[in-house]
Amino acid sequence: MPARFPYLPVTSGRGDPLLMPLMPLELRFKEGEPVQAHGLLDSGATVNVLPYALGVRLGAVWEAQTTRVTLAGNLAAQEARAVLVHVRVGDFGSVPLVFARTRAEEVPLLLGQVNFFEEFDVCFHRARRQFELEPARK
Amino acid sequence: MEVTLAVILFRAPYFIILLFGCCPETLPGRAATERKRRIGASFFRRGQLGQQDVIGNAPPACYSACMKLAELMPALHELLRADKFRAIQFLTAELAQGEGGLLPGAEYPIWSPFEAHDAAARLTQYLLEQTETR
Repeated sequence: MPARFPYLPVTSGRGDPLLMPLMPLELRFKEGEPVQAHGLLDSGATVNVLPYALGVRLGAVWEAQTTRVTLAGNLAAQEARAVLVHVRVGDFGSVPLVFARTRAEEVPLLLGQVNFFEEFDVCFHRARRQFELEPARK
Repeated sequence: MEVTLAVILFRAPYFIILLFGCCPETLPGRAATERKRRIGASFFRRGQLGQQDVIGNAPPACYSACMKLAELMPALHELLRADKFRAIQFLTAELAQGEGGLLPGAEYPIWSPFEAHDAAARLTQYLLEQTETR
């Protein structure tokens, strides 16, 4: 049975409210404390992206992450490193997601093709202002 | 009161000229056509319009603020294909500026890492390594 989430309003640069597919989730890095956050379902993103500050809240040490990743677009100018985080969505079980943790601060938590959309089947109903999600049937 | 009336009467010819100058369609028949032709020519002479600023092959006409869309449509229809694209670009830029949206020449960040295939391959490999060692 898929979980259903509403599109959430965010304020644009012009001050207008925009509805975006932001999903509440719980992240945990190794044996650290879980952190609540909202991730943007970005099916156009090739990879998941973790903003630097959220990595700090999770207890991830930048220097200990030695696998370097080169991102594209605006994020290409910032250094990024691979990090594995366990993510729980709704009542579903915890899933290991791999993130490119960027030094950039302004970027939202992005959930992209590798590997969020490999782990979850998502159905967007933008006109109805909601989306449905369930673990992928592999 | 008398002074005000005198000023209005004195300035009246200028108001009439200003009105017809801004809106030549209000002049009757041939006078309006002649007026539009002369204004178009004067724009070129004074360098206010370059060849790049004029859309289409026709000589520049004076499209005033009081011209209706219905009057413009036949002219737009006659444009060359490339000029129609230029007209669309012009109107899009005008609308964007008027609505306070995207500005020409401004930079807007797109954070989404589109086509980061090397990163995807590296992360997939990292995921396999990390999950196998557990």
